[in-house]
Amino acid sequence: MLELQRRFRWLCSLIAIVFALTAIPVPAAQAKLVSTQTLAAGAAADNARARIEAMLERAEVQAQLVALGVDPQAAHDRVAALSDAQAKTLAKHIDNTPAGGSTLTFLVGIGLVVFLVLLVTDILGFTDVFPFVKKTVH
Amino acid sequence: MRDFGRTTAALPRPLSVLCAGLLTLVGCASQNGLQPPALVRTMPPVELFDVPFYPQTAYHCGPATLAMVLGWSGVNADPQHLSTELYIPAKQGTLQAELLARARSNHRLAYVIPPQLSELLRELEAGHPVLVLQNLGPDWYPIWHYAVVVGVQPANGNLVLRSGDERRHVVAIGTFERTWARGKRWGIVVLPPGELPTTATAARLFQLLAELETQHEPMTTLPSWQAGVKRFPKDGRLALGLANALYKTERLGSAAAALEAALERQTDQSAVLYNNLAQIEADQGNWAEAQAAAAEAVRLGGPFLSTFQVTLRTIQCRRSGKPTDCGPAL
Repeated sequence: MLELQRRFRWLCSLIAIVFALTAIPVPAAQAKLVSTQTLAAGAAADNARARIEAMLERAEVQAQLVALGVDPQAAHDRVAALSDAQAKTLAKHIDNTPAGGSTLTFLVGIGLVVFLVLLVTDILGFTDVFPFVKKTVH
Repeated sequence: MRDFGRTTAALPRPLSVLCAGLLTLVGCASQNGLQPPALVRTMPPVELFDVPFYPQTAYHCGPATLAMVLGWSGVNADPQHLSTELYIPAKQGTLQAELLARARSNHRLAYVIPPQLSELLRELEAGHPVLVLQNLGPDWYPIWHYAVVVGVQPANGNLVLRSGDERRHVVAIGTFERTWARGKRWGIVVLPPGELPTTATAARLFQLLAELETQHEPMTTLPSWQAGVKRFPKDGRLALGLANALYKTERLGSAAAALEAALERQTDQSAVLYNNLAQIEADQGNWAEAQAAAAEAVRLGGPFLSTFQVTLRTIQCRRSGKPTDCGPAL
C-alpha cells in the first residue's frame, strides 16, 4: 500500500487540482437536486478526498489480483465492477479473505489420517466433506 | 448429544478414541449459535425446483452457484464464462465481493442476508434461493465452498442444496449450521428488479439500490424503488430514491407526486424531499410551489443546508425574471 501510495502521489496531486477546479462554484443557472448517491454517502461534501482514496484502493486491489494470477486487463474490469466499500475491504484483507473453491481434489497430497479424521467428523455431523457419508444426526 | 454415543459405539476402538479427542477439539469451535430445530418444525416444506443446476468443475463452485441463482432470477448465465470473470488462480476460488459485484453488473439486486438460520429460512419460504459460503472442513483445515440452499424438509430436519456435482445434496440442518457458521453465516439472495429480500431493512436496501444505480440506468432500479417505498412507507431515503429515478427517466409529474405523497406520509428526511420537490416544481415552471418548498427545506435545515440555500436563491432569482442577477451563487 505504501509503495503504491508513493507511486501514485503525483496522480493524487493532479486529481486534487482537477477536483479543486471543478469545485469552484459555477453560476447557479440551475437549482440543485440532492442525488440519491449523495444522500447515501452521508455527508454534504468532502467527496473529493473520499474519491481519491477509493481510486487508490481500487489500484491496490487490481495490483493484488494480478499478483494472484489474474490477467491484468481482466483485473481492471473486475475491480471496476466492485463498489467503493468492497474495494476498500478487499484492499486491506484480500490475503485472508476466504475464496470458495471445491472439495474435488483437496485430498491430493494429504495423508490417510486427515481422510479418516474428516470421515469421522462427517459421520458425527460436524463437517460435510464427503457426499457419500449418510448423516446420523437427526 | 445422545446420537454421538450411538455412533461411536458402532466404530472400531481406535476410531472411537480418535472421535472422543475430536469432539473436544471441534466441538468447542462450533457450539456457539446453534439454532433449535423447533424453528424448522413449524414451517412448511419448501423446495425451489426452478433453480437450475450447473455441476461445478474443480474449484469453480463460485461461478457455478452464481450461474444458478442468476438463472433463477432470469439471467441466462454461462458458468464457463462467469469463471473467467470470477476465478482467482492463486486462491483456487472466488471472492464473496466479486460474486456480489458480478450479480450487480447483471442488473440484479444482491443482498447479504442477516447471519442467522432463521433469516435464511425466511428467504427460502419467500421463494428465494440462498447462495451460501460454507467451510466444509474443520477450522484447522478450511475447505471453502459455495452452495445454493433451495429447500427445507421440516419433517426430517434436512436442507436441500445445489452443491458441487450434486443437484440435490440433502444435509442435516445441524451439520449445515456448523459448516455455515464456519463461513461466518454468509449468504446472499440475488433478485430481479422489483423483487425485494424478505429480510431487507430500509437502510441497507437504500444503500444497495444507490450502489446499483451507479452502474445502471434508473430503469433497472425503478421497480425496486417502487417496491421499497411500498414496503417501507415511512422511509424518506427510499422515497427520495424513487423520485430521483423517476426524475432521471423524465417523469417529472410522477417524481413530484412521489415526493408529495412521501411528505404527506411524514417520512424522515423531509428537508431533502422538500429541496428536490422545489427543483422539480421549478423545472415545470410552478414557481410559487417551488419557492414554498425550497423555503421549507431551508427552514428545516440539516447537513445539506447549503444546497437548500442555493436552491432557494436560484428559484427566487429565476422567478423574479432577472437572470442577470442570479450571478455566482454563494
